[in-house]
Amino acid sequence: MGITATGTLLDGCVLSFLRTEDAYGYNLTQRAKETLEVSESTLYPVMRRLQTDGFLSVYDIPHNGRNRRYYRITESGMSRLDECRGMWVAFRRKIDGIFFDGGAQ
Amino acid sequence: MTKEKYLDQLKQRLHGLPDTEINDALDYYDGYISDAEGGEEEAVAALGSPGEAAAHILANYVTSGRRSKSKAKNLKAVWSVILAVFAIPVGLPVAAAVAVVAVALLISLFAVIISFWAGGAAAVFAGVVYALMSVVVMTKDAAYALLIAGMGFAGAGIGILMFLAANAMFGRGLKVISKFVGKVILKSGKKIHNVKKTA
Repeated sequence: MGITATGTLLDGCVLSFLRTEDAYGYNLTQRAKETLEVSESTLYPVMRRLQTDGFLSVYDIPHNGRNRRYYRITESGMSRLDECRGMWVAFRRKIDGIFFDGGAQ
Repeated sequence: MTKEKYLDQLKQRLHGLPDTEINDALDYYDGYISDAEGGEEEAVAALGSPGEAAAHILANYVTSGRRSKSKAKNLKAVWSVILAVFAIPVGLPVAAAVAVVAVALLISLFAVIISFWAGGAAAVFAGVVYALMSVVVMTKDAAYALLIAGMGFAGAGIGILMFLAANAMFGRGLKVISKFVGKVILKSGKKIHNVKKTA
């Protein structure tokens, strides 16, 4: 089993998926499963939190006689994605330093 | 498992969350299962247990800091601990002991306050009487009258100060007692929680 993505990493992944196009829950989860080791119920709370924090907005489109809920990234979601990227770069540098240079900065 | 059964079990496991959170989750998984490729049964199987989905939702809700830090919510937490204490057999004697101690503290606080009030009232009354007496004596012996008047004013002053002290003590005492009781309740709640865990 590889490294599990949690917290900020998952936030960043969901925001990245939505950066270019809107998507619905099932579709997002399947895309995440292609590369990340996530279970099917991992993403809902992440998307819910991003939505209540104003990083995602939702809208419904009728599909097969019911409404399908789509997620769209907001302006502040875009800046949150930039933040996540920055945090990831800093984190990766630190881990690289520990892994390959024995903790030297 | 059918979709209805899955959603029903999920709903049960989310019990205690705000209704908006529960309904949003149920809507999401309703749509999710309908969107899944293949049959309903396979979709539900791929999704894992309702318990797993609920665990993800609850963990996220607790750690996201969306629980407000307001006093009302904290009070609610204290109440839920009190109820939890009453809900288990070991808790009853503990709760009774805390209640008895709290009542004893309150009674002694009231006793001290009332004695201060009584003392203050007596001093003020005596002071007023002395001041009035000095007016009567004034024509006979001016020096004596001034002495009595001074004693009277001093007594009244002391009495007023005792009133103020009693009022200050009352407020502060109530706060200290309620804080103490709250602390004991929270602590015993934690202890009982730990005992339950290890048992």
